Parts: sequence; structure tokens; C-alpha cells
Amino acid sequence: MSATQEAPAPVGVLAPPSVGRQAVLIGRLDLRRRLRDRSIVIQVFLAPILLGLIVGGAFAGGSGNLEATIWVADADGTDTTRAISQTVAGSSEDGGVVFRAADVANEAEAQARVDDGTADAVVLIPAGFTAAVLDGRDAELLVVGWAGSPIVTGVAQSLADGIAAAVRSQQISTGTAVGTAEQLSLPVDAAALARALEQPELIVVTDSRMENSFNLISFFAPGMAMLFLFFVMGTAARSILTERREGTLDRILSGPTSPTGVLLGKTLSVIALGVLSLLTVYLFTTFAFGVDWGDPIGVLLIIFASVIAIAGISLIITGLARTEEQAQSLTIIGTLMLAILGGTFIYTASGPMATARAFTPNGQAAMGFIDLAAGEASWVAVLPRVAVILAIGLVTGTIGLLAIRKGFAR
Amino acid sequence: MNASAVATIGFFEVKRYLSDRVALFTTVLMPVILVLVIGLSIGGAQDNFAVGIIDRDGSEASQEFVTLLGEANLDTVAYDDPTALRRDIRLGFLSAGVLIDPGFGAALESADEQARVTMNLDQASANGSAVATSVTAATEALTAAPAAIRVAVATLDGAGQPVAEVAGQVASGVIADTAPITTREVLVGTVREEDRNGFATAVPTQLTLFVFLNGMLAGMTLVESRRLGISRRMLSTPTGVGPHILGVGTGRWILGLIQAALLLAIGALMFQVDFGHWPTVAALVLLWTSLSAAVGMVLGAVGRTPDQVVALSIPLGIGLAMLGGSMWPLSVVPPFMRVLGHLTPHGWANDAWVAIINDGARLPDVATEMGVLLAITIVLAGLAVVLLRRSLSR
Repeated sequence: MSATQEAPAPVGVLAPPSVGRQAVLIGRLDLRRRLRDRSIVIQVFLAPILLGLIVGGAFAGGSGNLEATIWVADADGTDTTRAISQTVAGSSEDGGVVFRAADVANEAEAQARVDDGTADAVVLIPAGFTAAVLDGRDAELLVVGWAGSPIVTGVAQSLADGIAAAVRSQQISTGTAVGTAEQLSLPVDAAALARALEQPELIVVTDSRMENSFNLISFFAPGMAMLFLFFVMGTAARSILTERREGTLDRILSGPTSPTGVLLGKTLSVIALGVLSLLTVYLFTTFAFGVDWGDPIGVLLIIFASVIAIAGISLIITGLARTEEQAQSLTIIGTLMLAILGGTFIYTASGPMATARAFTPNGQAAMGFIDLAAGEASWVAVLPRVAVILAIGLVTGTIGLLAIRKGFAR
Repeated sequence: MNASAVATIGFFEVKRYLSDRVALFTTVLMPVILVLVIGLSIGGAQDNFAVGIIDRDGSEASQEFVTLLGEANLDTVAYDDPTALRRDIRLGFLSAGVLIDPGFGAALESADEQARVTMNLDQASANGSAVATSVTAATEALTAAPAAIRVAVATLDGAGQPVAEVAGQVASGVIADTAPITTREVLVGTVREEDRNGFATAVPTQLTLFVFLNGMLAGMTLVESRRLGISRRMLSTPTGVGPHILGVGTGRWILGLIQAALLLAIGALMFQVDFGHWPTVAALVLLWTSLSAAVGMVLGAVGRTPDQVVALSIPLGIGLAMLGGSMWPLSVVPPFMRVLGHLTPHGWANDAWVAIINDGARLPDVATEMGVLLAITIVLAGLAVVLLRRSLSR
């Protein structure tokens, strides 16, 4: 190499910046241009927050509670049945399913009360019930329910089953005590038997309440943000095709800028936009609405990995598409398919839907957010999901970039 | 106005649209897939509470207890990890968790120990007493024999006598001889269609969502033709711009009808949904498709670029659908959200669908809902005409 070539560039002529510097310059310019576009701002910042808020509002305040009034009607009127119906009526808490002791004479009246909506279900202890039990005849409890609400009828059924089992259990205990006494020729003291029947339950059921700071906003808001990011990143990736068609790409490449610099710059810009979008959704819902997303490091990791994955998928679509229209079509179809499979619109996925969710980056991200927000998971626990999402992004992104680079040579 | 020109423009609008693969995907395939997914995943009314079980004992008795819980109207799901169990309760996938402590089986066999079970519930849950009825039914059924032995031992304080042993043998005989107490279930009323068949909800809600969304996206066509100068060119032809606008609107209206007919056909023929009174259904569909086409015309007038129409339509289409009960029924949301929902046309349309499908409503029964939708359609159509006239004369 000659000495003249090594000499510093003459004053007034800029030395070509390094590829990294080129990428940053191009990326910054690209990002600034995008942030000036109102429709992009609507899609990546406003829409996810608003849609997340709608979901949050819709499911505020324990809407998962079943509300119903079940009547326990004692038409038998013996000491035993009165005690049972009073115990049951006192066992329910406020709200949810409420048990009430009520006067209902017979089956026809019970049906009428359910039919006119006064009661959602009636458990009727019919007249003669105690006598039948004591005589060893077949005894029967009646459950009247509304055909349209099997779950309420089911609760009433369980209530009746519990009463039946308790009554029968007492009968068996008495029979066993008396039978054993006969076999061993021991006397039965009625008072001792009565006391023994009052013995504590064999199984103690403790009711344990757990705190729940999970808010559906932390499931739906990032899901919606990712959906719109797919659209916006698709547009961004398409801008390479547009620049090629309009000849501006050739103009850029005729200068000292390298194709790698252009591609890296554009990729950096969409990644920055994506991270900015998800971060805004995260911070806004956290500080303005007190949504608890869980371990912040985990949230940031998933956000970053998801953006890489979305960028990667956009790049592969752009790389494989021959025209802008084709790229747009593939983006719309791909985005909506991923949204359906990843469960962006459906919260409680089960069966094949739950399996499909695991194969999409947005689905993995949604499950990761759930782990952090509701599953007490630390950032370490979500690392496998982050790795899967990143891998999807890196593989699709690399293939996409190679395909686009090849397109540059054409 | 030239009716045949309107028809021709409408026909070509439909033809052009149906030749576009993406359009076919978003109009036809996507709603069909979503109807299938949602219809299959909601599948009618919930029958039982889902309860997660962690059996830390693993004894014969604890396994029998789990079986009895299943017989007591609970859908039991086995869990190993308490964290996963708590997560699914917080998420609302489970109504409660039942943890069987170690030593459960041994305690039942012992003379005086108590077996322990913990019921895990969400802080805000009011389902506790409902789930507890099932747990009680299962514990009562499981403990009949050991309880009888304990009662016998406590009653007959026979020192030096093998009371427990004898009582054990006697108890099995007594249990076999004691007549069962049965429960008889009587059901009143009829099962609503939405409780019987998940598709009775999935079809109308997705129809409302997608017909409206595609109606909005139709605005793209108008923006495009304005940009390309087609609209101005139409002004210079004898046909004029009026039939052009009306033609595009008609085309989109027909596409909405095709979409609606397809979804209704899938529901009725593939999944046997009983949609109720067909003339009322037809009237609602005609009204909804007109309203959706009118929205598209308004967007076509205000949008500057096709991309802008898309950027506005998708969030707005999804947001209105969420508010108006197309993503979840308005019956589950708090009252203020129900009021908000009725600020959207979706809220009224979904109300009408629920009444028609579930309560056998006919036109007079849903007159209020239909009246509101008609008023919205007229206002939107009027607005579209004014805005389009202004934008096209620019």
C-alpha cells in the first residue's frame, strides 16, 4: 500500500464511517421518520394501551364468580332436618353462591320458585324424610334446578349429596356402635352415643385465601402491542423493497455506505421502535393503572426477545417476497395467523389451542408474561421461553437478511 | 340515478375483491377459523367447577377422595407444583385448589388423628361455598366407615375389649345394609341455545366483528380511487360520482352479506345452531351489513392514504368489538362497561342476536335494538354522502 493512500483525508472530505456508525445513522434517521407518522404512533403506542384498558375494565372486580341463590327447604320439619337446613344456610359467604333456608311445601312449589326465578335452585327435604331414614326405608332428597345453568344445579346437587352423606354417616355410626355393643355384650349408654356422634370431623378442610395482583391487562396489552408491531414492522421491512423500486436504495449504495450498513440500520430502527412500543405499554399500565407485571428483569427480557422475533419474522417475509404487495399480503396473513394461534384474542386456551400457542413467539411471550405476573416466576424461570423466542427471531432474521442481501445484488 | 351503473360498479367491486387472496383470507378464512376455535373452546355452558388437586399423600384413601371429588360435580385436574396451581387459580383457569396433606390416609386409619385438606382460593373469589359443598360431600362419603368405628369406640368404653377391631367388621356390614339416600334431580325450563351450543355465541359475535371490520377496510378502496383520480374521472363521465360511491358501497354491502351468510351457514349446517326466527335474523344481517358499509364510506372520505385506513380500522374494529361484547358477553362485565358497550353499535347488535337466538325474539321484540342500529346507519350514511361530496370535489 502506498504512502499517499494512508495519508489523512484532505480537509472538507469526510472519511466513510464504519459499518456500525453507518447503521446507527441510518437507523436513527429511519426511526425519527417513523415516529413522525401518526398512524404508526396510533398502532404501536395508543391502540395497545386503549385495548388493554378495555379488557382491564371489562374484567375488573372478580367477574369469574358464579352468583346464585340456592334454597334449602325443610318440608320434613324434624329436629334433625331443621338442624341440617340451618347449618347449611349459615355456611355460605356474602356474594357468590348463597344458601338460604326457605319454606317450600312440596315439589310443585319448588319448581314454581325456580321457574319464576325467585330461587336459582332448591334442595327440598321432603316430608317423611327422617322417618324413612330411621325405618331403613329408601329416603330421597329432591334437587330442582334450572335447565340452562347446569353449574348451579350441580352445586345444589352436591349440597344435597353432602346432606345425604352426613345423615347416612350418622345412621351408620349409630348402627355400628349398637352392633358392636351387641357382639361384645356391652351396654349402650344413649348419652355417650349422642356425645360420640358429636365428635369432631375426621377431615379438617382449611380455607386458604391467596393474594392476587394479576390483572388481565398484563396479558392482553402486550399481546395487542405485538399484533400491531407485526403490522408496523412489516411496513418497515417493506420500506427496503420500496427504496429498491424507487431507486433510492441504489443512490444510497452508490456512496460509501455498505449494504450491510443499510440493512443493519433499518433493522436497528424497527427493533428500537418495537422495544419503545412495548416499554411504553409496560410502563404506562404499571404507573398509571398499577398493573403488576411481575419481575421487571423478566419482563424486559421477554420484551426484548419478542421484538427480535417480530423483526426476524418481518425480515423473512420481506426477504422471500418478490413484490411489495406480496410482502404486505404475507404480513397480514402471517400476523393474523400468529395472533390466532398464539392466543392474542383468546385468553383461556385449552387442548390443541394451548399446544399451538407454544409454537408461536407471541404465544411464548404471553405465557412468559403470565408466569411472571401470576405464577410468582423470577426472570430465571422464564429464560427457557426467552431462549425459544430469541431463537425464532435469530433464525428467521438471519434467513431474511441473507435473502434481502441477495436481492441487493440483483 | 343510474341503477345499472351502480349495479355494474358494485359487481366489479365484488369481483375485484374476491380475486385478492389476502382479502379472501381476512373476509372468509379468518372469521371461519375464529368461529371454529371459539365455538370449540367455549362449547356451551360450564357444567362443573374446575379444581386443581395436589395429592401429597398418594395413599389409597387420598386417591379415593380425589375420585369422590370428581363424582361430586368437580372437574379435577392433577397438579404437582403448588406454584403452577396458584398461578392457574389467579388466572381464573381454576375455581379453587385442593391440597391433600401428607398423612391423610394414615390419619383416617388412626384412632383419633384428623386428616387435613387445604382449599386454596383467590382472595376475591366468592366460589368458596359452592366448591366447599362438593368437598363436604366427598369427605362425608369417604369417612362413613372410620367415623363409625370412632363413634363405637367412644361410646363403648370397653376396657380390654377389642372394640375397634369388632367395630370395623360390624361397620362394613352396617354400611352394606343401610339403604342409600338418593337425590333426585328435576330440571325446570328449557336450555338456552347459547348454553347448549358454543357456536350459538361464536357465530353471531364473530359475524358482528368481521362484517364491521371489513366494512371499515372498504374505506381503502375509496381512498385509493380518489388518489388514483378515478373519482375525478367519474365526475367527467355521464355516470357521475354518485353512482360510483353507491356502487362501491353496494359492492361492500354484498361482500358483508356473503360473509354473514357463510358464517350463518357454517353454524346452522355444520354445528346445528338453531338461530331462531330466520326473517328476523335476515333483517338484522341486512341492517348490520348496511351499517358496516356506511362506516367504510365515512372512513373512505376522511382517510388520506389506504395505510391510514388500515391503521385506524384494525384497532377501532377490535376495540369496538371488545366494548360491544363480541369478544366476551356483556353479561359478565361491570355495569359501567355495559353502558360503554351500548355506545357502540356492536352492543346493540349483540343484544339483538342474544334475544333472537336464545329467547326466540321476533322483529317487534328487538325493535329497540333494530331502531338504534337503523338510526346509526342513517346518520353514518348521511355523513358519508356529505364528506365524500366534499372530498371528491377537492
